[in-house]
Amino acid sequence: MSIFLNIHNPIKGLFLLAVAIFIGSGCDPYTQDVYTEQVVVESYLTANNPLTQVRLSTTGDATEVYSFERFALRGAQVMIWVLKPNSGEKDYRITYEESTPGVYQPTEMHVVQPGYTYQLEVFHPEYPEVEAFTTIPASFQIINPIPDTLYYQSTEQLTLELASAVAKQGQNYYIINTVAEQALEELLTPFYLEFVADEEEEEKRQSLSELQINSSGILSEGNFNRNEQGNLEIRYPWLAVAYFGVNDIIPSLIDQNLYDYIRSESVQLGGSTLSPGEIQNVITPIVGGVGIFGSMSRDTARTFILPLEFEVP
Amino acid sequence: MRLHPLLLFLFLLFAHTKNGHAQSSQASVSGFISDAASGETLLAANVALLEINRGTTSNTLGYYSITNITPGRYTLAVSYIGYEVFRMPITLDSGQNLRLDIELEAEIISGEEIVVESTREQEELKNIGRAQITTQTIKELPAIFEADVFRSIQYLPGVKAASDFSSGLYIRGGSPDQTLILLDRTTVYNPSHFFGFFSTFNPDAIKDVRLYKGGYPPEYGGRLGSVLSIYNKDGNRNDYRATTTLGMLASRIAIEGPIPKGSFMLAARRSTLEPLLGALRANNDNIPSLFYFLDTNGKLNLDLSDNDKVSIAFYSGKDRVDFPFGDDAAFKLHYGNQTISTNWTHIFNENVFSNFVFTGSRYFNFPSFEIGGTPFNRDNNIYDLSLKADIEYLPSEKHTMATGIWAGVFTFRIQDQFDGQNTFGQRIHAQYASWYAQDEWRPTTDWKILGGFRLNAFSDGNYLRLEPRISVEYLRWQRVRLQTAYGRYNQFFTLITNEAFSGFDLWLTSDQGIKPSYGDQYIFGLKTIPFEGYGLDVEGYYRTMKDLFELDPFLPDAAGLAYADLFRFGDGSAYGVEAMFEKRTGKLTGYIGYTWGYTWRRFPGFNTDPLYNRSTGLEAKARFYPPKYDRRHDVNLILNYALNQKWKLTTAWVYATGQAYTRVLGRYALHDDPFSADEFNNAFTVGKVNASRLPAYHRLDLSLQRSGSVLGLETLLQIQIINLYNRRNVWFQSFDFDENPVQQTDVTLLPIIPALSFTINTPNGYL
Repeated sequence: MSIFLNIHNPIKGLFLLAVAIFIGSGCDPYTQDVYTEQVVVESYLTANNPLTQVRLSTTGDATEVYSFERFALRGAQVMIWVLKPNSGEKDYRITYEESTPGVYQPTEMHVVQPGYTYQLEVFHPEYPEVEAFTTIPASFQIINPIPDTLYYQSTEQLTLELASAVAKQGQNYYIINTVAEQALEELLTPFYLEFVADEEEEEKRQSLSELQINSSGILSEGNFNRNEQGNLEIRYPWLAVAYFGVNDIIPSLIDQNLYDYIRSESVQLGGSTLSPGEIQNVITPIVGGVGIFGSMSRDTARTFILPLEFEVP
Repeated sequence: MRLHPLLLFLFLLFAHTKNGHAQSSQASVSGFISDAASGETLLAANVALLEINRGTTSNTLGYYSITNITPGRYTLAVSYIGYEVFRMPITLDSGQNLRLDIELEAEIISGEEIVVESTREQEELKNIGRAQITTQTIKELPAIFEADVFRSIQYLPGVKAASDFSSGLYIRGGSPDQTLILLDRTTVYNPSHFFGFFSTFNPDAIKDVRLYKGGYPPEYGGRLGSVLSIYNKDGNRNDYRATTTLGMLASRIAIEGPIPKGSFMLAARRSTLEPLLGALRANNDNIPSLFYFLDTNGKLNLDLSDNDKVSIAFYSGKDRVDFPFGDDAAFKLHYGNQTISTNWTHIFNENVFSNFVFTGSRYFNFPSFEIGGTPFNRDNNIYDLSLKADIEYLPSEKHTMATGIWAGVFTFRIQDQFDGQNTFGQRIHAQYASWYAQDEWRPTTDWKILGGFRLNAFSDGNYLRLEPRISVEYLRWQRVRLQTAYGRYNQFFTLITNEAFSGFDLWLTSDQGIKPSYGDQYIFGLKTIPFEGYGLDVEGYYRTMKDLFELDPFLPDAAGLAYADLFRFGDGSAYGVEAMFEKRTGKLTGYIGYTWGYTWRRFPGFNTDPLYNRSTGLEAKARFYPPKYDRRHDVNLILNYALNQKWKLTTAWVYATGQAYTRVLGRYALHDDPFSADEFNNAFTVGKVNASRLPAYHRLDLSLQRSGSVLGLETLLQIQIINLYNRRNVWFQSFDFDENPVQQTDVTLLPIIPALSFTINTPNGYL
């Protein structure tokens, strides 16, 4: 019955409308999910490197005290399959065994092959079957000569020339890490030194440790030029240098799984166009669980970075 | 030979006009309605011939026309809220076209007793979806430091604020980019100062603010949801006047006055935070070295003849921040808007009224960082140049026809540079055009039907979209209006922004492969006058939103991406009911507004069931979710009480359902991250997006005004208290992973804030 049938008495019609709204608003169909424990997978494969461990745990309630040991998943059956390049059929299996609680090591030596797809399978009697795939990115090399010594913020900026990285589709994504040999406060570059200067001792210790591996975040290949030889030229920004001294500069070409995981994890607690507090689930490649099963190819350049005042004119 | 539809319309229009002249036995009355003191034209004033119950309203240029009147003696009545009712006996002879420009006197409140009788003519015509807020209300409402147009609009039913820190308008479930914002008919792309805290419009420079919350007529287009049209003051045509306001955050100055055959207005406003920043800088390193906003509005009007008026209006506003936050780190931001509109109004005759506008709008945004010797710069510009032509035709008392075009060139340019190298760049140069035609048909005094269409063309992607629109109104017992409306709306733009910070706003457009968004609106309304001097309005709406395109929030780096790969595509809907009970007369005036609403969005791959079994090989189905600004219940109570001739109290109380948020359910950690030296990296598992609610939001604001005079100058002292009972409303929850277990903290909104402002006006004849 339309409320407007009661239009001779608008107040009564409005009252009926208000009642309808009240009843309607009480039946909110969009209710929150309940917490469900899930298997957490963590494993990284690097092209032309041996297979490394698979770490398994479970999620915990957000309000609980966390430690890996507490949530380690024991007694799982873990294996990685190498798939045939064309058909995608299972070709070769590497089994894993638990070395410490929740940490599983391959039972044989296997060098990860660029361009191949690897399939992870985890079976555990108390949890759903877990499965994930990763396709190893093409390998590449830094081919240009790297100066032994760089002077921080001098006009001579480091360029890395990467050869033979092939994008499978779209474009490649890189993360460039700068790994300092020594993480000492007196070796910090000015920006980072100011950043930690006022911190308490414990907080400072943690910051110094965290800055030992400085990460660029995900960079699209579109940021860089390709030279006439088709090689990629990456201009290395000074911002990446947290410590003076010996630094390894490690560009990593990441697979789709790492790209999805890192880009979503980095804005999980805010940022981008998301409103403050708009928390999202991380994009995970794990079927039947959460976490990451990803791969990369990488190369390393080593150099020694000195303050600018050490530069000889 | 086939006539182009537009030519056909114009042919019929002028053929009718000629015919209209031939009907020499009928008479007409037309003219402009203006304020007697200032000469400002009054928009949407009611005009009526009482004996025959014929009426109309003045249009957006203050012009009215009543045609096809049988010769005779009539009483012409004109009413406008805040003005004395104008009544004048007129005699119309056969064939006479009476030109009658009317000046209304502002209501004079004398003595302690304030009695304003309501009459039928004083009831403002309330079209469906429409709301109006006066500049006086904007200035009287309690405001956070500075009277603000958008924050005043946020008090209306159906309009929501994202937070205390945002002046953005979320209307009927739409995001801010779904509202077309026009200043003197010119699109304004980033109407904010201080990164969204304030809107850009100086209340001293504004004459009229009208909001179409939905179901807007064919004369407007380009946005899915609503239209906010703001008009600058023309300037006082009779006397020179100046006003200045000293506030805690910003100060304003405005001057206006007559020029031969016209008037001018110039207003400026600048933030005045420097003393505060200077004091803070003495004890704190992290204070910007430069932080201000500045805006200026101006308008010049000239009457070339009785039938030709021209005006030129401009706005220029900018925000600047320089923030060196370390010896080797600095952030700079410079953004703003500039608009210009040149208007020519021509009255062909009492039946045909026309308006032609050239508009120019520029938005610029130049953020830059330099950290650790590595610079980042962005150069973002929008240029929008357009021409508008509107013709209104009154062939008979039953029809008001209108047609118009709006065509322009939109240029968007962005160039990002990182470490001296170009990274992301995009240039969009699009032409757009639209044509509308509409007819307001009043078959009887009880019925009003407005039907028409709008045809939009957009060059990027070669899109041509037709938008039919209709609204029907039935007037019952003079006190009850039943209304309904339907409309199709298209949007070729999307705004890339963040609720907490609008300083980096970007507008992007549809293109090949990026279809424009579109949606339908269905509205039902009931407007009543239950008792003399009161109003009760109820409107229900249902909206669809298709082909929504917005920047993928998970995109880490746009460099090298194809334009279409920047976006995610989705759909949505919104529905709700708004009610407003208003007391319009007496010492105590105000309203209580209530909104019940839902709004939903859905994007593929987003808000999927995390436990979905993907081994089926099918993508998990995205679920609809409410955006953060979705509110189930929203109550606004606004009260004005004139204590006596000098003192006035205004209070605003707001209640809203708590903001939607996504509840954190579980956590886990990664320990072997090859790209980080952190001991472990935490992550959450969360439930359905925005399926939980923060505590309810409520706040009471108060404004006490005292008007007086000093040395012959009019003064106004305003004392305001925002959040009187210091309610700690929650904005969002933050998580500290350094604590074990993770510590959850409520981030709260504004605490209690007192504010003070002092305004000085020169009365007429002072300068």
